[in-house]
Amino acid sequence: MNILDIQNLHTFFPITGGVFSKITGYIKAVNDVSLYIKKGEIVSVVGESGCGKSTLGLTALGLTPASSGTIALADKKIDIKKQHSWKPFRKDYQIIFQDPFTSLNPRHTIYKILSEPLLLHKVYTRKNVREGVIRLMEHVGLSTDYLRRFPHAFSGGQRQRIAIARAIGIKPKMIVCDEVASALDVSVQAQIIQLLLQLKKEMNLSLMFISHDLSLVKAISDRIYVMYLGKIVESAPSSDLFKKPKHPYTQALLNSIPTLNRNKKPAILSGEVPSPINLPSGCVFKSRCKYAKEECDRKHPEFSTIGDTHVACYFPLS
Amino acid sequence: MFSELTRDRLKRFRKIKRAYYSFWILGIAFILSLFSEFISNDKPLYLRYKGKSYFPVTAFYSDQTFGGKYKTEADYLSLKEDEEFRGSGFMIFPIIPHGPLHSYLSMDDTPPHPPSKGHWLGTDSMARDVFARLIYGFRTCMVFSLLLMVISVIFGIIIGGIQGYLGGKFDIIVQRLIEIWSSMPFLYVVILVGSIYGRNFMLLLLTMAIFQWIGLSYYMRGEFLKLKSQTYIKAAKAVGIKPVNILFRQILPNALTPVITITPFLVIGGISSLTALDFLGFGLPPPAPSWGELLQQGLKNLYAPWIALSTIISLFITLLLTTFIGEGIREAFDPKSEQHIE
Amino acid sequence: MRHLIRNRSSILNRQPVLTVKDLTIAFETEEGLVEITDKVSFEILPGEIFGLVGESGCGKTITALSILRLLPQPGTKITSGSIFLKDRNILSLSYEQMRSVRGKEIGMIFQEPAAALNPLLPVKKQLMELFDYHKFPDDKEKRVAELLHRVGFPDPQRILASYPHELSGGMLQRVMIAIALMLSPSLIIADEPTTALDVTVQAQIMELLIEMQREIDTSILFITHNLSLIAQYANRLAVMYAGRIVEENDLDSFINNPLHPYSRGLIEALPDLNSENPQLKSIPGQVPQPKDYSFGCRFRERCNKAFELCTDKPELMSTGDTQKVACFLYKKEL
Ligand SMILES: Nc1ncnc2c1ncn2[C@@H]1O[C@H](COP(=O)(O)OP(=O)(O)OP(=O)(O)O)[C@@H](O)[C@H]1O
Ligand SMILES: Nc1ncnc2c1ncn2[C@@H]1O[C@H](COP(=O)(O)OP(=O)(O)OP(=O)(O)O)[C@@H](O)[C@H]1O
Ligand SMILES: [Mg+2]
Ligand SMILES: [Mg+2]
Repeated sequence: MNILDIQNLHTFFPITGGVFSKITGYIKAVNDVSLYIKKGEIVSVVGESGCGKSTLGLTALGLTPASSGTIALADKKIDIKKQHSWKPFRKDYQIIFQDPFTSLNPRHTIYKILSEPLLLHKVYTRKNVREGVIRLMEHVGLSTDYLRRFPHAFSGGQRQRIAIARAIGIKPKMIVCDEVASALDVSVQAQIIQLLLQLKKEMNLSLMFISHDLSLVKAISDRIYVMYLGKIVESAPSSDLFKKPKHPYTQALLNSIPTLNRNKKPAILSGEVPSPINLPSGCVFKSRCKYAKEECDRKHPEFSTIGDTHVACYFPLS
Repeated sequence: MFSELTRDRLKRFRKIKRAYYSFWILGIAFILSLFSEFISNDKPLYLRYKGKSYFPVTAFYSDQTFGGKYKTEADYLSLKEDEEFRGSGFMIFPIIPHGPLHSYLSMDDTPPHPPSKGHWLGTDSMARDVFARLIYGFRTCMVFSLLLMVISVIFGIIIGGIQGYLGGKFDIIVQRLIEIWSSMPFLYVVILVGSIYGRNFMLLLLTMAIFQWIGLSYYMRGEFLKLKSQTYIKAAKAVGIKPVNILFRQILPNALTPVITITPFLVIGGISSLTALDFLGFGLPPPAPSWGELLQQGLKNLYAPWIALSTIISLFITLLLTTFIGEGIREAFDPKSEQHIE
Repeated sequence: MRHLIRNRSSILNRQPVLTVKDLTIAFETEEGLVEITDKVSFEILPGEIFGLVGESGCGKTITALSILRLLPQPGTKITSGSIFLKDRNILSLSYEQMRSVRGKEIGMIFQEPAAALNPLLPVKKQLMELFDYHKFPDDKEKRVAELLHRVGFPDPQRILASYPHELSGGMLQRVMIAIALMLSPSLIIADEPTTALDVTVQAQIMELLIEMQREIDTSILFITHNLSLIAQYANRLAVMYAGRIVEENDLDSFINNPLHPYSRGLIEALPDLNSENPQLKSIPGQVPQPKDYSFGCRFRERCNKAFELCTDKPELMSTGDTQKVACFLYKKEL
């Protein structure tokens, strides 16, 4: 069963101008994306900053309106034009937002932030909700002395853990994790990832893991989608992708990872980044691709299948 | 009842001594002024006549009750001087035994009379007691400004809030309408309305309110627009909280902060505009006691400085206290001090 | 590599850009004053990239904010210590003087880019205001556009016209970086500047920072928890744990031979991309909360080398030319 199945999804943001805000163009944040996540699977989405990863995650959960395409949650098709069609799925589908500084209401205490969803979805009753909140805070490694504090009194990493606690509290079936670990240092990162993995084992949780930290992605995901300028350019099982990247962009990503080795400097991906408003004709990556040839100008390449890998490139690497 | 954040803010407000004391002084003065009739009046608080008790401040007694000839209300001031009454009764006047409308034309000299034992701040050009008029004027202008503030806050919140929450076309159209509306000259409208429907308290209040709410609606609209795009609102949606609850529990309380911080300044605006209008003669109809009208008299009778001086000082103190309160609230509520700024 | 191989001695002889000495910051809480940092001291030399690493919540951001005098007020207090920018004591500058130091002499890249921008104004307005405040000479628009281009935006005009919520996390971070670079400050405090960025943009931004540093001899206080990033770009680093600096070291010697047991744990916790099945190792146990900070070594509950001396307070002591460590394991050796 696919816990999430997205076909040909488009999310465009209108650009407006003038006194009466006429639409003058579109930012193609998510542009013809298809993606599925099986039950109990951890699927990562990686890609450049601003390529549309967060928008993809938000659209899948109906938090940003989609322009076209189909979304099916647990094999049930969603009417993407209607906000409330996601309502029955709210409990089972959760999201942890990228920015822990704005995703917590500054007027609410941590206790309120954590207890509200628990009560709303009747995971606990008014009587024992306190116990539940305390359990959650212990789970994510936060001191329970801080229940009455407001978000501003926490450091970045601590806030992120509060956000994580809020999402896992109501025992969802799937969580979209938007850069959950990037605000955390390695040792807490490892704790959180282990927590997510443990939850996956215990409750067969599925994860859509949005990240740009490839070493983390490698450690936890089953399959990986690589996104560039609103499009998926490669999808492959985790082991294949790191061993034999097929798309030149994937290769560039792998080469830019900094390591402790001071003699191996991260490579710089040069070339002009096209604007998501005026997408170039042909392959979206061609302006930065060192292998680009004339064919690449024609149109964006279709997916070709090599083993378990799908890649949108005329000349996949071998 | 209050969220902890609000409690924190109240605590911080209490720590700002200047504002906190101003709040109490002005608050008490205002509450006392609501009972002006018992403080400054030309009718006695209590009257005893032929073994019976009367309370002239709260009830009407005709002249005949006390052995007079007329069916009209008793003239207590002349009654006080009346030999026959003195023989069979007595009365207790308030601290200031003058009403705001009573003219002491029978006094020696021509009005305005300078301050004396009987009239602490003297009388105005129609021989009315200045102190009494100041007290009643204070009440009028506070009630007026507070009502004005409440009305504009309600309008501002509703209209600005809806604009910000719905956004899009609706917002743009309403925004343009508001801009057109606010470009109408305020004074002309007041004069026009006054000359068509006559001048009265309610009408003046409404006319001013339909201009005052605009500034506030800008704030509200901005706050709603801003808060709507905050991630924590999305987060609330994502855990399945109902839109109504998101609106009232998450957005509105956050949006109210700037409103609360500007209310004292709205009150200041109200006081000043009312005084200015009265001064120009477009405000409340005479003979209603008002500070603007007193100022006007003061200007006309510069040789009687007690009129202008006492009014200006009262006005100054009131505005100063309100400003202190406003500053205190702003400091206590400033979201920045919850974040980081020195 | 070029930028790293510098003549050490020439750097060492110069006056530090920033000297933080014995800085103790405390929060006023219901239970009284709680110290967040404990006598933090470090120096940043001209043209140097100084890394500050440490676990979440150990006080890195608070330290950075105190340098700009942007601590939450009221509620925080600097209870002891001094901060010198070249030879001016920052803590005794007037409010107005401080305003002109911010941005112009010290640039700051905040950890929370979204919170540092006003959500109601388009990006352009905010940038221009900054320029106006610092009386930046003409052709601002050109300079802004150019800088935005350099931090990797193909379409600076769209970014300028956008409201903050219309930009992705990484885009906001890059806008903040552009703002910090704009006035060519002599010190840039970068609090997790690239955590929101993917590796390709991260490499690009780091390259830009290095370039700036070389061009105008800016020093950078680089706060991060990404050790690999520090390893690639910093000259020296300090490791912070539970409000104290536990180690100060040269980068090369740090990677090959970390001194403090905590530093060792950090390096070991790095996932290894080359291994077939990377395992995430964490240091067992929890970071203590500020109000539970103990007098003795704060790492001892999680340290496998702890011994009886560790209940005492370890002072930061030199073990080499440029190495300092706060650990009793080294006391024995001396
Ligand atoms: N509400 C919005 N209005 C207009 N444009 C938007 C909006 N949200 C996102 N965008 C645009 O859509 C594009 C993709 O943004 P998104 O946040 O999905 O990026 P991302 O892949 O998550 O990047 P990052 O790794 O930096 O978080 C960007 O160009 C951004 O400016
Ligand atoms: N207003 C406050 N009141 C009380 N404690 C606070 C307040 N603000 C921060 N703290 C505490 O101060 C400590 C240090 O916070 P700081 O933001 O400096 O951490 P950090 O090292 O930057 O962590 P991260 O890597 O997670 O951003 C944290 O334990 C935090 O809980
Ligand atoms: Mg994102
Ligand atoms: Mg921090």
